[in-house]
Amino acid sequence: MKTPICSNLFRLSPVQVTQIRFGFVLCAALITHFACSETEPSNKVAEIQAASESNRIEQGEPLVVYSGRGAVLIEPLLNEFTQKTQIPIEVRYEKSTQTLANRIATEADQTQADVFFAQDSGWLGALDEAGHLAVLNDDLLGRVPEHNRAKNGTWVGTSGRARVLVYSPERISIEDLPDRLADLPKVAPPGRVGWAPGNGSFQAHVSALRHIWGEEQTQSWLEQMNALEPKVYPKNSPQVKGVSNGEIDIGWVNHYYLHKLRSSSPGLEAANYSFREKGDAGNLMMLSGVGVISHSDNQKAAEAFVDFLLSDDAQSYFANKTFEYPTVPGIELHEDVPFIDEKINRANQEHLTDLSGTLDVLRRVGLQ
Amino acid sequence: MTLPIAGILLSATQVPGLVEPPPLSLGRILSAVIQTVLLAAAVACGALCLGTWLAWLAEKSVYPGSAFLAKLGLLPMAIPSYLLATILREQFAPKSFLGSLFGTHGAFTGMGAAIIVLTLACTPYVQILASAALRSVPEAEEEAARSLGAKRWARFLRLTIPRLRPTWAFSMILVSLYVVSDFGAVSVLDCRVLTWELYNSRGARDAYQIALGILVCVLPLLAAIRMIQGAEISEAHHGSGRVSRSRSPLKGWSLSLVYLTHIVFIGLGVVVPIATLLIWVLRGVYYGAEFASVSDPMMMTAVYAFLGSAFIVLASIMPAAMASRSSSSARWIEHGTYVTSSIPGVLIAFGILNVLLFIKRNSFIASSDSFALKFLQDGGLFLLAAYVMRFLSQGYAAIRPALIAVDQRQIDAARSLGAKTATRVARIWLPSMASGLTAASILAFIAVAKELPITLMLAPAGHQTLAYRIFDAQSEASLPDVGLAGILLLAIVAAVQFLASRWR
Repeated sequence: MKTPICSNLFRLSPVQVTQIRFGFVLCAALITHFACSETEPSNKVAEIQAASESNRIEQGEPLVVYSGRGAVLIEPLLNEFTQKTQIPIEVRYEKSTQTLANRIATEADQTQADVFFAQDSGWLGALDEAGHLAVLNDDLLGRVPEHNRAKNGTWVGTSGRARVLVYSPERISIEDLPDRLADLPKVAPPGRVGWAPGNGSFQAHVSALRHIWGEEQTQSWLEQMNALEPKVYPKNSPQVKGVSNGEIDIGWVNHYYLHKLRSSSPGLEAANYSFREKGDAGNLMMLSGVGVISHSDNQKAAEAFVDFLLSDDAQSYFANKTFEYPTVPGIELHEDVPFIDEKINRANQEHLTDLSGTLDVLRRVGLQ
Repeated sequence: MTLPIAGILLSATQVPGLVEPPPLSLGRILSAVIQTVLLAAAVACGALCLGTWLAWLAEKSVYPGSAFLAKLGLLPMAIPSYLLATILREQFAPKSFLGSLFGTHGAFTGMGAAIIVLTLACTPYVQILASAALRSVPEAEEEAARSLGAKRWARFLRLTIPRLRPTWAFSMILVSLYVVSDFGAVSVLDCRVLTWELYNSRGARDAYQIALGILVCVLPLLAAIRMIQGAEISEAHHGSGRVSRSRSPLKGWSLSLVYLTHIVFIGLGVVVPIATLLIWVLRGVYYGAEFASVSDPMMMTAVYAFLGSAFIVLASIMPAAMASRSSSSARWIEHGTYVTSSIPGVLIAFGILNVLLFIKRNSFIASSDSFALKFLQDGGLFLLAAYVMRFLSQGYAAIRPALIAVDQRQIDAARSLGAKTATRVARIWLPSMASGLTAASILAFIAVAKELPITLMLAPAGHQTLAYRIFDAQSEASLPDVGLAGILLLAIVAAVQFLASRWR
């Protein structure tokens, strides 16, 4: 269900109300709006309100979220959480999940973060290994299948992004696309392929390939691809646009960029492709996930936030607004997003963090 | 200035991240240095040619609409480089409007794209400086040369070029400094220069090497600027009489070329950006795209621009007062102020961020002072301190002349009549300095509202300005959000300038 545009445009987020301590005159407008905003109680509210009786919640202290996911993707969802629970949120957005995870590790017990909301769950694994994540309660862990959460229960996946090829149906016939990622260098047209070796998703996928295929095969595959003189992009979305614009014929991206771009440019001339072979290394599912920081003294509010992200409303938001794959069973996908469960390779998400080795391989191939 | 440099050095001592990236190679750093120098040189040459040409048209030529077009040509200065880069990157894509027009085949990114965008952004600065230089050519010299039979080109070579030469030198260095410091355009266009490399490597232990690379590029430029300014001051004492106001009418092919120049420059720098932003918003509304809320970023932009300008003005008063009282130390105070503000924003932010992380890492400091630290960080004081460092010179440049203009005789008279300090400040100092303080506030407000790298790296959790939103939305390819935030940012800047002009 779409929210009317105007209400989204100028909805004053209560998130900021507690932040603005400057006595600035504009605060009056924000506070007025905050006071007037409606709240919709849900079944979970009673539990969340109970949680709010302790710790920082009752002092009106905000929940601090370090988010590797951009504001334009998740801000409406965070506002909804605050509206439902009256728990204000302060978010530190950072485009690089790696930088954010490193920051939490550096700040250690001095960190302000209560929750880490990661674009790539691999970094949750890395934080867990360094002892910065608390174990979540069984109720939360039981809401998602085992493959969508940490083995030791320190984080849960909130949504999934499938790695796909984006291609131009005008210039490439789907029959010509390979069954397996390994065969891509054999069929891709030289000079007409795009990739983003500096992008986190690319590097995470290469990390997974090193574990699935082994170092030697991965390096060989990268060398074969590099011989095609691929066009280097900084990120995924320009590749999707590049395919539509005619810059390239094939790109290697996450599935949801196409749908996201189509929502404001329906005429985009590009399509996603998942490899035909079941469980192929190219059909990797990469999870976004959330974990509670072990040093946080706002654990209950943090768990309420995790609970909210696994709720039907939030999962439907991921399915319909960010065009991702929900991690909680029973949530319907967006009509444009295909069901590819059988094809997916569910690699161990913790392998995705093995970045040092990946950067070494990329450097050997000349991509760093 | 000491704080960021201390932060840069502290960054070398930081604990390894969760995953330690391979060390930065010398080749990568050298490549970034070379790319930075090439970009600065190319943009400086491009902006110099285009800016001088536009200044010549404005000052020495007459054709229909010349005054209006000259003013319109300065507007690209108001558009932040990251916004201009985002718009042109999209519009120059092969099947987009300009891409189709010019028949482009590849993505509009990298060095070439950065040269075009930054040339557009820097040309108005050169135009302003060159216009001032052209206006300073004495009428008598022009007339004497004409009466001696010197043709137009001869007059240009013998009279105008010598007048323009110091301005060209100054402009080239100023533009180079702008380019070396730029973060917005190079990040959007993925041009691997030092500032973008520093941002990407900011979590690495050896990122300080890139930071030092930036300093190596910046410091010679600063020294050159100060040398040229010193030379200009000594030259300025030579009286030059009545300035030349003669203008030549343009017609024929030269007029067509002039209009073509204006169409390309104003089209790319003003019309295309504004039209594109509007189209993105309207298309988003038409297709029912869900916009991210802009009320919080708008609020944060207003709050930080207001507070930032207040801090900058307050911080500028002290050096301006010291410089106006003591002529011997004035030069050094001025140097210090300009040097501090000439350090690229990304470098200031990197340094301060590392100081902050160092304090957090060392619990012996943080545990005894955690409340104060939290207050400092939550209140954004680190961010405001960085704004002050970055834009101190703008406040100083506006306030110092205002301080000098205060009539010392009035103050002496008031003192002799028994007026207390507060009365003298309220009755003499403030009214005399009002225009300077206002100018400083407006300059600082606009600069802070548009600032990107410092805000990106130091904004406290939950604080996102419109500039931050634009950067975030463009990286997600959410063009309706870029359009909306871009229009609002430009509207705020225009509104402040309009109100200021009405007030004056």
